[in-house]
Amino acid sequence: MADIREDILARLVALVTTVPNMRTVRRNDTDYFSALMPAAFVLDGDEDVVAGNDGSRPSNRPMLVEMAPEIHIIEQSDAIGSDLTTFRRELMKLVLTDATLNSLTGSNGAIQYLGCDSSFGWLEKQYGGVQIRFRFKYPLIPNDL
Amino acid sequence: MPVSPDVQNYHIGKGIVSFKETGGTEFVDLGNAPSFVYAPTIEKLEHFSSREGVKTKDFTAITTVAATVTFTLDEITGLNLSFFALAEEDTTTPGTIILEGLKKTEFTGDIKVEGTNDIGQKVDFEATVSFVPEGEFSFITDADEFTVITIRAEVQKDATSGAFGKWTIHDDTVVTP
Repeated sequence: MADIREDILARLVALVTTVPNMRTVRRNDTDYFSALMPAAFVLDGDEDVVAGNDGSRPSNRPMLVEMAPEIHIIEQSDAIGSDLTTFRRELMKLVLTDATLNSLTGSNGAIQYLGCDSSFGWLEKQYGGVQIRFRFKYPLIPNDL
Repeated sequence: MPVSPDVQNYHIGKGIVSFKETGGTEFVDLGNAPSFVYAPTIEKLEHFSSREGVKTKDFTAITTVAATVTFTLDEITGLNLSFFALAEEDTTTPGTIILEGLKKTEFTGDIKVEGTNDIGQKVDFEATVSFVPEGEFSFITDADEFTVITIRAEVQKDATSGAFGKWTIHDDTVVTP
């Protein structure tokens, strides 16, 4: 049995845990409060088939899929903008160069950095968050699941 | 190799391209190659029967066989550009590689693709080729795309086997002792 999607998400959690100065890393949980910050949340993302989904082949045909997990980092700090940018940089370095992730996506796959989205709480001083967007392409082979 | 029909035989190709110039000793990895395509060129002579009211084809003779490979490289190195520019690499000035374009009109060697795809059987290919410049090289572009070098090469007939390239299909289902 091999579920590359789950393996990628589990590895992401492990990598986010190693981001310098990150206090809390959670998956399957969106509840947070000040005492947890800086906190990172790894959430399962959408998955789309990008190759092999034509109808002329058996339903258990191999496919190539892309998954975009949600990684949010929430922080409260006097230097909120700089801190979030630093977290983004450190996470990018970890994800894009990680041998395990590159092995999981394989030669038919890819890891792409898509960008990041920031948001700040205007009425909550020094609170902010950034969603860092990656896209993972990998084989989905139903016979191996 | 799974006996057809089997979904494991579906193939999405990936691989590593390397080249060994004639007289060289080892293959050199050419870096990332987004595409590598082999195209046979066949000329034929068709014969039609005139024994009926409607002319019908009753025989086809192949009169010419040849093949080309066309591939793209997106690592802009002196070696990769030398294939496109038909040039010898001049490295006598430290820190620079000089290519004098279209002076090396006979540029031959062995090209090799090693299949690395995770989906489907891995297919290798090896052939002796002669480079022929094709396409364009963009020194400046307003498109936000990586520059690629497109290279076409005429596949040479192997003097021993008579083949225009050799394919090797790997069977991952066989466990070698």
